[in-house]
Amino acid sequence: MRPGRGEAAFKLAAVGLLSLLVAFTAVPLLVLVARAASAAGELGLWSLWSSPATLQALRGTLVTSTGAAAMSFVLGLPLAVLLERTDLPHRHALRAAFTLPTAIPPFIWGMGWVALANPRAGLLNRALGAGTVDIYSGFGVAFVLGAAGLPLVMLPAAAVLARLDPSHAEAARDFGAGPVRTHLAVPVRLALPAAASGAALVFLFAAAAFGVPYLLGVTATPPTPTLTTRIYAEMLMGPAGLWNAAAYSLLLLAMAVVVLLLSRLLGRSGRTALLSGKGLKQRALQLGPLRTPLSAAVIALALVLVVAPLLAVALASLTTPAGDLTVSHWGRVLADPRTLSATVNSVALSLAAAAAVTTLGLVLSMIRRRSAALGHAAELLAAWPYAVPGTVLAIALLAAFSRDLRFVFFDSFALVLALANTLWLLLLAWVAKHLAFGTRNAAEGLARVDPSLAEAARVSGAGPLRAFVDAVVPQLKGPLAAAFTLTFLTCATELTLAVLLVPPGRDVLGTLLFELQSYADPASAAVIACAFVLFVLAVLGTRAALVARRVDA
Amino acid sequence: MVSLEQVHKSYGETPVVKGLSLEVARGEMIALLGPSGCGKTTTLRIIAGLEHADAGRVHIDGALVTGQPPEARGLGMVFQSYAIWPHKTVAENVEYPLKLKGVAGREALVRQALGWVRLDALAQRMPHALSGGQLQRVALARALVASPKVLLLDEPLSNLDAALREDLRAEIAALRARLGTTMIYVTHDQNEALALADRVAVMNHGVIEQLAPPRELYESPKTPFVAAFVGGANVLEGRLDGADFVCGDRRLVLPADLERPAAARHLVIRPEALTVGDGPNELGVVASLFLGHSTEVRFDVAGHLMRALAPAHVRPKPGENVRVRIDRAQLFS
Repeated sequence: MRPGRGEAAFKLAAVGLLSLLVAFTAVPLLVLVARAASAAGELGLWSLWSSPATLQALRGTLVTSTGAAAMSFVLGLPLAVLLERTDLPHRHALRAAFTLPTAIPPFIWGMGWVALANPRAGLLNRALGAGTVDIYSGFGVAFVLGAAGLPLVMLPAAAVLARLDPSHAEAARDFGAGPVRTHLAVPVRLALPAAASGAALVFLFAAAAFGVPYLLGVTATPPTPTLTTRIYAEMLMGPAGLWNAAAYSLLLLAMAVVVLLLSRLLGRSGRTALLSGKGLKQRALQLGPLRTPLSAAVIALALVLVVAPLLAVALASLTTPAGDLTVSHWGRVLADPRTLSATVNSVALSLAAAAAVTTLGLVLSMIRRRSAALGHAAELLAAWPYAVPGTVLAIALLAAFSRDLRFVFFDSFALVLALANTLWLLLLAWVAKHLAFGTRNAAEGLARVDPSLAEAARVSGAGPLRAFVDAVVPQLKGPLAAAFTLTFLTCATELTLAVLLVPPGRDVLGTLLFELQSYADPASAAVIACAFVLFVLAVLGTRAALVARRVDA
Repeated sequence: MVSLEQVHKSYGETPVVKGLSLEVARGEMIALLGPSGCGKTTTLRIIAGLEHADAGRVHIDGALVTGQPPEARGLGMVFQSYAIWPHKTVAENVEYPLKLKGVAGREALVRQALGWVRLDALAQRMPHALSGGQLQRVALARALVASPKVLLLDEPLSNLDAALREDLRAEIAALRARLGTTMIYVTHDQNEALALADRVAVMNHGVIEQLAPPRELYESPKTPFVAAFVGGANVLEGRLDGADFVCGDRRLVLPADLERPAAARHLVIRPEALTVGDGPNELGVVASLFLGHSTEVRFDVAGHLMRALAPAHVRPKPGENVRVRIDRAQLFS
């Protein structure tokens, strides 16, 4: 296109937006690296990294993350096969149940398991005798995170199995393979890369987790610290601790990069696994006499991994320490002015973050449509904060904005950016972390919009912006609404960034939940957790109903 | 009404339009005809302002519009993919250009335009409830409602099935007779171009090979490409040897009265200009296809395929050698 005035304005806007993104996403990370390198003090980065405390935390992270990845892989792949390729009863409901962990923050699953398997007062131990199961351990951390990460293995593997070209199964049968080989061995081999790539993501998710290791690992005997809990401990020590925290963050970041690349590699090898887009209806494998026992086993697994912890949290919110039913916890929490202010803060900040993520996603995709190179840069910038562990992102933002930044323009006009110790920093972190939701959804939506829709508006007399707003944006309603909902839900129930970034004296629901569970009042925490779960179920239910109605119409 | 002067356009290193010039008179309908990749759609998009030429000038209604955005050009356009906005009703789609111009009394104008394409009854429907033919009629109404200086049509019938295509083709011709709008019509279908246009510009590799009224184009093509593309003519490469044309190891006897320029390299023969079963040439039959009103006989000429249209009762068998006479032909350098 010939560079006209409109084109120049577009370039200016694009470059401005990109610099803003760089300033708030890429620069903090660079500051983190630089500060960690310079501020690890006389001892130097290496001696800090090789200290026994660091090695213990590193070992804790590696062991719990590997355990979680292994558990999600061992359970997730068979579940994907059973739910996708066989005639197992209640497949739809079971798939929904095993997908639920993605929508509920891991900390709440941890609370559920505390209520179930606390060595003294847990429901299981009351039933089986005190000390039978102890969730406070490295094993407990791995178990809870493995269960929470299960969908990350199950869903991609199921997606591959659903898209599998039926001709492979037919070919296998033609070559004389029996039904088990035809329907299990071949598909499983083809779904393996997706499952392995998913397991790598579970490792990443577990290594980045903060709430669960803090809840279950720190107070365990022997304690199982991880890198994230070390980072939190350093943060509590004030400004000096920040630089040690930055040094630990670098380790975590390096680990994340390696695992992410590994996951990409595994995922790519999976794409060559002879898939076709035909998506013909598969013939399900008849389970025959195994149908009843397998069905019982899968239902039992769903009850143990999904239903029991949530019920335990609900029960904890409704019982006295002596075990009598009561609504007094609910009354206390609802009457507490802190609950109200935390709710208001959470809802307002989450709405703001969702609106910003959706808008930025739309603008970034628009840039991508006009200029491939700028768009690619924008997409990379938007994608990385999601992959970076939340603790690392939080430390990077704290390092970059711990002091007020003063920008002076033309020697007269000064813009002071004072983000430290405000809720704005949390908003910034939430927006940065979830930008990818917006860009991905908007870009996917945009790819399905025929360019002639905008061109027809242009020829009809609309300028480029008007044509985009009138002809293209309405086609993106669905994906944008999805990005908005997802961001809102994730932020409203978010814990890690909130705990690290909310200044003293202010609350959001995540910090309130964390504080009540960790220090003061687990019963009140259970009330808030219940409210979270009910809220998530309500939003998901409404969306499912809306989607179903749209499909009917 | 529309004039293009020496328009060039490249995508990266690939030239798509190479120094194209064209004059379209007021009220005229011009078809840009050619195979895919010949530059016809790019030319149309340059006129619309959706693409900008690397060099050259575009005038619309006497005004230089080169560099102007599409919204400033006062045109109407119909797209192959209909480009009907799915979130607006039929009436809202048609109203949109009027709304942007701030025209008063829009409702009556919308009703009138929908009347032109006989869609008055469907004004309040949503597009997903319409067929492809109806959608394209909505697009026609939308493109015409604001009285555009020129109506641009980009393969408007290509997404429709055969029966609908003929209906809508007749409809476009009727609309044009009624409104007298200047039209530029891009197509790869010679029947559409010949049936609709006052003049047809046959394009190949980014240039206009010939610009002429349909009959002239059909009867006296200026290049072998135009002859092959418009009339479905056979084009054989070779040279003159005495009075005969030699193609590979084949010697063909030509009509006695044919003009024989010495530099001739291409022999162009229409299928209907061959007599099968009599004549000075003997050719091997490759296939013989019964078409109902006639038989298409395919011959092998030194490895090239040559098609002839014979009366329906002529049914040579594949492998047979048959006598053939060339009644009319053209030689090109």
